[in-house]
Amino acid sequence: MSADTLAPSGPGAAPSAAAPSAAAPSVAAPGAVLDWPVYELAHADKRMRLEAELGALTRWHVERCEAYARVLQARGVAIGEQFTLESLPWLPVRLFKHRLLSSVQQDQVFKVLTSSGTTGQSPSRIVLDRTTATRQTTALARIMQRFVGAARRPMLIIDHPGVIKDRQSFSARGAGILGLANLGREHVYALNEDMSLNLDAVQSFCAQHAGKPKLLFGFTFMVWQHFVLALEAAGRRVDLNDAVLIHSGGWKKLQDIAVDAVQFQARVSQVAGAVQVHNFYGMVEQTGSVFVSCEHGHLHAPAFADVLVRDAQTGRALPFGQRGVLQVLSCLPTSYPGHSLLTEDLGTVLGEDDCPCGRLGRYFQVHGRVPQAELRGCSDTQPGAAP
Amino acid sequence: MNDFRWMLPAGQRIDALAACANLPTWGALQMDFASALSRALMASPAARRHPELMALGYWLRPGHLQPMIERLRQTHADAALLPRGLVLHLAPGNVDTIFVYSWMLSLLCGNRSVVRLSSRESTGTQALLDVLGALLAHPDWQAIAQRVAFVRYDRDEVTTARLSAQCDMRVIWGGDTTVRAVRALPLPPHATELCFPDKFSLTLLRASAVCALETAAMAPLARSLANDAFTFGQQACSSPRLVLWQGEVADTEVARAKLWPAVEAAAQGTAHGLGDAEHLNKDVYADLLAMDADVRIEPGHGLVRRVWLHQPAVHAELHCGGGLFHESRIDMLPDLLPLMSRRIQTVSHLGFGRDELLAFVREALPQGIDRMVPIGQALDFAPVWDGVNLWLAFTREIDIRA
Repeated sequence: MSADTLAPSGPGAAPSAAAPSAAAPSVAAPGAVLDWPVYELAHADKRMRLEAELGALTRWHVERCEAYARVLQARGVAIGEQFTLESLPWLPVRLFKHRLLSSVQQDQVFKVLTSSGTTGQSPSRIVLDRTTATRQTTALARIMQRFVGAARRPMLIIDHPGVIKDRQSFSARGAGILGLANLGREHVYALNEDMSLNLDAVQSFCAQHAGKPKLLFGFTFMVWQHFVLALEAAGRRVDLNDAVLIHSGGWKKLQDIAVDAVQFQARVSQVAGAVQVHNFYGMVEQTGSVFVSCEHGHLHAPAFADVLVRDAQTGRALPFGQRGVLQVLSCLPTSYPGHSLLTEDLGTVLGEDDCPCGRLGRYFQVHGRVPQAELRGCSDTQPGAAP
Repeated sequence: MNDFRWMLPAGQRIDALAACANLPTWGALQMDFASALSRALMASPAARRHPELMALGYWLRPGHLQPMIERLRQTHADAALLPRGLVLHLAPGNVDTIFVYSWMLSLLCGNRSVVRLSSRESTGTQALLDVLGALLAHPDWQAIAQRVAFVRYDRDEVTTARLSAQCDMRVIWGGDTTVRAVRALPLPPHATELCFPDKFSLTLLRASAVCALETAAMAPLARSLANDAFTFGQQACSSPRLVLWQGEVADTEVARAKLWPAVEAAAQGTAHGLGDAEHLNKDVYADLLAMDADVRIEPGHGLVRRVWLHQPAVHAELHCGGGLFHESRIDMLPDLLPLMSRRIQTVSHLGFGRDELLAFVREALPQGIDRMVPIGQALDFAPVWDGVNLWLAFTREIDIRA
């Protein structure tokens, strides 16, 4: 992906010739959704736009993805109805680990994203055509620009360069880095292939861009393990004042060692100076429409995405403040039916339009994965003997 | 031998176990021990919290075992039945109590046993091990304690191979993967083997019989079905996963409307340990099935999730348990036949007489079906299991003529 795809309407974003009826989502006008002001839509306006857009996307995928249509038909969903955010059908996100769900012809497939998945599970496979890939890139840029500004900053990537080498088999990690890399320039990788800290590279990056705005990106646990702890162990500090650190990938491993966001920020500042830290929640199944944490540690839904919390047993949408399973909505996916997904993460919507940071839209917290049931199948009897 | 742990009894060694003599088949000592274990389970407050342990205690009481043994003694009065020797039991992870049934039958037949427990810990298994530990430490039961070892170990094919090489018989309770993997490990040439691979079980309901039930009779029926399905989180091989109605469409619709709300209510009292993960699972597997087969996912988001199959079929691979029911209808009993592969284990039923079922299996010659039992008895353990008479399988017969 080259830097010029940062523009909101790249060459791949042209409307499909087979664009359907009046109910078509804005894939027929790719800029529309992405031009919505990212954090400035008040709830009534946002709901109206999302319900129209996501309802249209539902019909869009019913017409193009047979497996999706079969599921909705089996559930007795009336496709013609006007959906609300709460009544909009959703797919369990895990379906993408079991089936390749595509809403485009084979020859339109631009690439297939995969997630590493948890041990023992198949990875998710997400079919992208150029349109959706471009929308994802643009959406990510629109969101991130609100935290790092429009000008590309010198960028330090807390990973090793090998992770993006094989562009045919993008891992979620590689795709995440490439997605974010568009926001920066003069990229430097902070780690060696063996995940050790490349201190020379980091120090020369710091020296070269001293006193100027910088961008740092990495996956949460790697930033902690291979950057913060590595610098601490070496007894070194680096000058990354005026940098914004964007990190993602979940807090699970850090929670296990009792590191929270506050401590994370504090320890980053100790080794790297005045760095502004933003976490984001996102997944390969909805690349692009990420939820970034504000200065108050709240994750925020951008205009073209949203979040609901549901009771896992009843499926009912829960009011703000109640803990449940997160459902994520995104207006971006037109090449696969992933616009409304029930995750396997637990979270709480804290409120809407009233975060002290001033951003409008829903803001929420993620508590971690739904605790997995113990395997009780017969096949668990001899784990040592299984291949 | 990573993670290898002798669980019970303390101080047990494999070579001592291998060198020990067998006990007499169906001997009095073992019968007394079964009674003592039964009493100890019934008296244990921890065990009392687990219905499956109470069922085990009930199964082991003399009033239940004694008549079975008596019948065996009568039918085999002239036969010289001896224990096989050292039996290796590989217990499943899905049903906490199976290892005790397997071991006790083996012990009652006079054998020595090494029992490999599942690595999955549960309060039920712990309660059981506590009761067993106390009993086996008692001087009265030294002869029993010398003849058993309960072990646990993880991811260690070498250990299974080493234990297998020393045994006279191997019993594998597990899924197909386990059975396949363990079977690849050699046994001594003379040793025998019993395998209990993946199975699929269903409930067969005569629609007219359910229609005819008084309202007051619905709750007990629903409780029976809920017990069969939810006791082990619908993960036991005999837990019904498919509900098949036999009869007219109209009767079936009436019967379904009566049955399911009652099952949902009963499940509220029976289903323990079903969490968010199971509920999410059920939705995933319902959707996956919808992609492959013509189905209707029934509305309602309780503990019971139902998928109606427009074409009756067994979709064993697209079932996750945890309260998911595939459901369909057949006109006549013989319509069962195409579904009855060798994988089918238990058909729990309502509204059918024994003669009718017997006639069906004798005429249709189904490949599968190991048991046909009334609803509510799906999980009852019986010494004839998956078509094998364990009382005889755990013995060998000496042909003596004069």
